[in-house]
This record gives sequence, C-alpha cells and structure tokens, in this order.
Amino acid sequence: MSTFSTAATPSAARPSHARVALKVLGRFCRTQPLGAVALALILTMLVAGSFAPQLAPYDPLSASFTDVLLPPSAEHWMGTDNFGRDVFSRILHGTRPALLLGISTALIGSLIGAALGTASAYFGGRIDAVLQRTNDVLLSIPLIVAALVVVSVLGRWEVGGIDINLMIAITLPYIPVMARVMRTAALSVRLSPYIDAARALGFSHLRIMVHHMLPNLVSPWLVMVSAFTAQTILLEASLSFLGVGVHEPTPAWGLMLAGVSVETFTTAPWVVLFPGLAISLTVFSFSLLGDALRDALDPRTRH
Amino acid sequence: MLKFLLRRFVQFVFTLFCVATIIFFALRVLPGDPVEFKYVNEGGVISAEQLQAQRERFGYDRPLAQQYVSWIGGLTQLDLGTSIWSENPVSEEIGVRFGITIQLAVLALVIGLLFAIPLGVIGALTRGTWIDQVVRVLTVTGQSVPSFWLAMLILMALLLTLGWIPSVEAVQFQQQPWEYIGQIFFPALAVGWRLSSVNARLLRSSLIEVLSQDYVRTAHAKGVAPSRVVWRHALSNALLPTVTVIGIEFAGLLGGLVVTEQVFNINGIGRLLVQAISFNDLTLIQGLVMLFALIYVSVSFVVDLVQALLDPRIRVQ
Repeated sequence: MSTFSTAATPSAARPSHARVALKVLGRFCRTQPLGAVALALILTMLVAGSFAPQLAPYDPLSASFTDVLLPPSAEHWMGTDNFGRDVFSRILHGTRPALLLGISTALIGSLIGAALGTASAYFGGRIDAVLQRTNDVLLSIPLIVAALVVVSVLGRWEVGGIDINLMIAITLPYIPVMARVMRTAALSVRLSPYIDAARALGFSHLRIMVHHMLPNLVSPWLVMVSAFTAQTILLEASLSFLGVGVHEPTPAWGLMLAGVSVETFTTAPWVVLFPGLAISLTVFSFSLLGDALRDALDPRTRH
Repeated sequence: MLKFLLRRFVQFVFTLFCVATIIFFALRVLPGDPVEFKYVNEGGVISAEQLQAQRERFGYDRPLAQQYVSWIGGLTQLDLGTSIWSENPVSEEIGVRFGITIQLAVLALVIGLLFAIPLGVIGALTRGTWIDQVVRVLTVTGQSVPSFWLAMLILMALLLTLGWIPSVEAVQFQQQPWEYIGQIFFPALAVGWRLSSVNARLLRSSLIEVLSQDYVRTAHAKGVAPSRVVWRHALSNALLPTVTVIGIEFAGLLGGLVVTEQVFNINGIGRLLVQAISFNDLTLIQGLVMLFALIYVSVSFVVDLVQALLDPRIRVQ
C-alpha cells in the first residue's frame, strides 16, 4: 500500500525516475563497454567545448610572430601554428563549431526525416511512391556535392556567430537518407495490429502518427541521430577544409588543416596531427555510441 | 526480362531529367549574374555593352524558361554548354579530367573490397569475443578518419620514410609507370580505406546471418571442411548484399575524391567542381552535378541488372 501512496505524489516519484535512469545507464555501461567509453568521451568534449574560454591556456586567435611553428612543449601542449597561435587552445575552441553544427544538423535533419519517413510509411500508396521517387532522385547526387552546391547558392548568413546557411547545406543532403531509414523503421510499426485498432477507433491520421507511431520509433531515431552526428561532423570538417564551411578566424578543425603546405608535414607535423585526431576521435565516439545504442535497443540483437 | 529492362530504363531517364531540372533551378534561385561575377572577380572594368555581349555569348541574357529549354535540349545531345570561367565547352573540360578520377574511384573500390573481406570474415567468425571487438574498433576508426586527413598522413609517412611523394605534375603510364602508379595508388588508398570499413561491417553481419542458415549446417553435417564452408559456401552468398550497395557507395567514393584530389593536387573532376564553385561558374557546376548523377544512376542500373540476372524474384517485382 505504501508504494501506491509514494507513487501518487510527484515529488516522491521523481527519485524513482532518476533511479530507473541510473539503472538503465548502468546496464548500458555493463553490456556495452565500448558505448560507455564513447558516451564518456562525448560528455568530456561537451564540457570542454562549453568551457573552452575558461579552459584554454591562450587566446585561440592571438597571433605571435615570435612563436611561429613551435613544437609541443610545457607552454604549448600541442605546439603553435604558422601564425604562432596555440594549437591546443584552437582545438579546444574548435570543439564548439564541430559539436554545435554536427549535433544540431543531425537533430533537425532526423526530425524532418522522421516526419517524412513516418508519413511515407503510414499513408503508403501514391504519397509513399512520390516521396520514394523524390528520394531516389536526390540520393543520386553525392552528399558533399549537394552540400557544396547549396553552400555556393546560399552564400553566408551568420546569426549570432553561427552560419545558418552552412547548417542548411549540411542538413539538406542528409534528409533523403534519414527519411529512408525512418521509413523502413516506420513500416514495421505501421503493420502492427494496434495501428489498425487506432484507425478503427476513428482517430485522425495526425494523432495516430504522432501518438501511436512516433513513440515506437524513438529507438531507431536515437540510433540514427548518434550515427548521423558522426557523419555531419565529418561533412562540416570536409567543407571547412575546402574553404566553404566555417570561416576564419573561427577556430574549426577542418579549417586548421586547410592550406597546410607539404613542407609543414615534416617540419611541423603537430599542425597536421592534432586537428585530424580531434575530428577522428569525435566522429569515432558518435559512431561507436550509435553502434552500441543499436545493439542495446534492437531486441533482435539483444542476447 | 525485357519489361524489367524497359521499366528500369524509363526510371533511369526520369531520374536524370529530375536532377537536371532541380540543379538548373537550384542554381538560379538567388539573383546574381555569373558573367558579371567573372569580370568583377578578374578585377577588370567592363562596360555595360561588353557585359551584355558576354551575356549573350553564354546565353545568360535570355529568359529563364528559354535557358531551361536549351539546357535540357542540349543534354539530349550531350551538349553541356560553355564554361563561363574557361570559355571552353563543359564537356571538354570534363573529358580532360574524367579519366583520372574514374581510375582512382575504381582502384579505391578494389582496395575497399580487398581489406573488407578478411576483416568481415574475422569479425563474423569470432563474434562476441575480444577479437571481434578489436575488428569493430578498427572498422569504426576507418569510418571516423576523414579521407583528406588520411591522405595527409600518407604523404607525411612517405616523406618521413622514403623522402619521396608522388609528383604534383600529372604523368602518363606509358612514360613513367612507377611514378604513375604512385600517383594513383595513394589517393585511392586514402578513399578506399573508409569504404573497406563500411564493407567489412556489412559483410560481418550478412555472413553471421548466412552462417546460421540450414544449408550451412547441412554442409557441416556432410563433413565439408569448416574453412571450405566459410569461404565457398557462405561467403559467396554473404557477398551479395555488399555488392548491392556498391552502387550507392560509388557515389560516396566520388564525393570522397572531391576532397582528396585537393590534397594530392590531382586534376580530376572533384577538383574541377571545387574550382567551378569558387568561380561561380553555373554552367560548369550544373554539368558536373549531372555527371555525378549519371555515374551513380548508371552504376545502380548495372547492379540492378546483375541482380535481376542472378535472382529471378527481382524481375517480377
């Protein structure tokens, strides 16, 4: 009886929620050790990015012509670049555009993709056919080519230091891919008897999709967001490397690798090594987390 | 089969037509004059009459609808228009650079499969053990490393060990075969490595599925040597899904080359695209996008055809 009374008051129910969350997290860490490592890495990067101005030992933008291309040392942990800027401070600050653009574009793209994919699977027939053919057409253009074209058409549009047009350029090419993934997941839900039951009860299409289908698509969506964040971070780095992504003077990892001459490869390898390691480690963490989530959430692969 | 071919061909033409339409209007959504851009960019002063004459020359003086009709009409005759930037026909600009990119892509595809098969087989056979985890980390790493950075690391390694890197100048195979192989091999390795990681993971999961099937158990029961069961009986079937996605991956491969060609200074179509974009050469951009779409659609067409030949169920679908 006492359990009933505690569950009835919201304040008492809260710790039990937290306990459930902790338990789920604990199980995830035990069954998916690699996923737990990835999660820890991502959290570390989020903290590092949030507190970059406080954590960075130097101003990432201050050039010093007496400290050009210094090797890693106690003062400059990752050396300095050809403008005498501290590489470590620039890497720390570079976490911000990478995570901000990567996570936001994956989130926005996956929400649009989920909406399109669910609608496509739910309605079927002509709507599904039109959406699928549109997808086929759009998928025939390589992602980076599509992103380059969007960037060149839209140019730059910065709001509060964030290039909105760059976000659009990274998000748009992924929408057909995400819509396809979500459609496949939604199709299996669509065939469940309870959807037919909901239709028989006369619920509206929107209500069935939002209240009955979407909650069952949270797991595949979560896996997709994590896996695609890895991809969007990689795409942003490539665009920045090509000089059409994040612009100077903002420190971004892809941009730090742009314009490095071949001579620098041997005379100052730290200029090349550390930004690439930062990109790889971040992308690696998100891919691994996506993988672990897939294993943990997919009942078929659960042993 | 004929009906299947016909339907697939109609789809082929329809997709290309849609891409042509989308890219044409996408590039012209925002106002801006690519011809004026060229002359202003070159720092030259140009009179209004001269500018008008240039516009007429490239066809940018006509109304949009007329430009669209001539763009589609030109496509049916494989005429992609004239590049504003170089003033040469777009098909000529592409023709000069197309060969090297295709060679790189095919070599990268081969490398992608060569590494993928052993990795995928090891992963599937040691499923759930620490070896599988190591393979998993390896393949996820391969997918995480940006190909342009891997390209830089390869150049760095070559400089440190051999003190040599492939020459920036394009060479012919007939004249300097080794130099040529070096020029092709290392960029292909940088792009192919990523592909092999993707393929290895795919192969692992499809091999696990195949290995649990009845006919594999039958083969084991018959007393077929375990290695033969894996390599002959199971792998040949497990490779099918991998081959199927090659069409999709080929597009990604070309995308990877867009960036990697920059690092190795290779004068391919990827580099041409980046140049076309920096010069705002709309005619060249739309021609290149059409080419990328054409390659993708053709490869998927061939893959579908091969599949239909192998599997009669697909034909009647």
